[in-house]
Amino acid sequence: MNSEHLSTEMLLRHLDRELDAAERSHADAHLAACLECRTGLAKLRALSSGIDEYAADLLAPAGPGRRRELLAALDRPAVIRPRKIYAMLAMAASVLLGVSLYVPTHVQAPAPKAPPADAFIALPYSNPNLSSDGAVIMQVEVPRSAVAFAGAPAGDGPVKAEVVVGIDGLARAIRFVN
Amino acid sequence: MLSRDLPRASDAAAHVVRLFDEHRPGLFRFLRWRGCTAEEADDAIQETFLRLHTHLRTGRPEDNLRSWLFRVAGNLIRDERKSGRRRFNQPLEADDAGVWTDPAAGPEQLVLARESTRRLHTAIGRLPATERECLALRGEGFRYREIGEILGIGTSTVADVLKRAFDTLARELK
Repeated sequence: MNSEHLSTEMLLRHLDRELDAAERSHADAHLAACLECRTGLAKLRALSSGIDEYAADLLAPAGPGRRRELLAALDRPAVIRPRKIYAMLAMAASVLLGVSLYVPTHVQAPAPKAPPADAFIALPYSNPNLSSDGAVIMQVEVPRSAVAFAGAPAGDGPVKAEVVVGIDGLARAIRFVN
Repeated sequence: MLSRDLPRASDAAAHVVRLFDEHRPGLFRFLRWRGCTAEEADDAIQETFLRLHTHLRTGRPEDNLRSWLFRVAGNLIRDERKSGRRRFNQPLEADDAGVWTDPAAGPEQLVLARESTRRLHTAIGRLPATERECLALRGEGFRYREIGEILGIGTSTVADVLKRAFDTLARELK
């Protein structure tokens, strides 16, 4: 193709109405005078139609149960997936570890108060503006590997914790029971 | 593990079902372009709309939900593929779709059209994933800028990718 002709990209953008005003004006003027570029544009248009036909044939109607399944799933309580909650708990363990390391190394008068052992610790990424209405507390067992991964001492037995789950289905705070 | 006491937001659910009816066809085609089987596509679509439900219930932005849906569905497939649980990136079968023909064409034209269709489908199936994604989203009427936002690439890259895809397909049909 002669360098004065419109490039394939320019023709395609012309077809897709993606040219700005100046480009479009230039392309229209060139197309009006150039049979080769008009032919190129027509070929792109034909190919585009073939692709559209191909895409249309990919569509299959939704199975009769699909809409019902979605409705049923929307009615079910939100599920917190194990991997997600383990990541949250590992992060919470990191927060706890950070608190325990901070207190002895930055002792000043008056010494900062460590949170009570049974206090809930807000998770750093939870939405502070979310209403507590509808929140629930769940008891979970944290895998020792998740606690160890966070760098906290895991001990011998299972680590039990309580997690506050907000109305958005995400964990908001945690406290370790043992 | 269930958050048992979450109240049902029936308004959000009804909104989600309306959006499902509206956008399921486009999402289904997009996921089929990505190499999903029909069942895999519908599974991914259901998961996408469950995420949309959470998205809406937590007061997140509702503008440009169509792009949001395509982005989430595409990411779901990408994550599944990375995890190795499914093989969504299979080349599409040449006979997956119907035949690209003019119903008014004569017998000889029909034969030629069928041959062109077969070659086009084979060529599309061999395109790299990004080129198929861009073609699919272009076919759904997205602007280049929107395609770039959905796929996480620049607008000029979208133009390059589409040009490359058209060049390849045109070459295959010569």
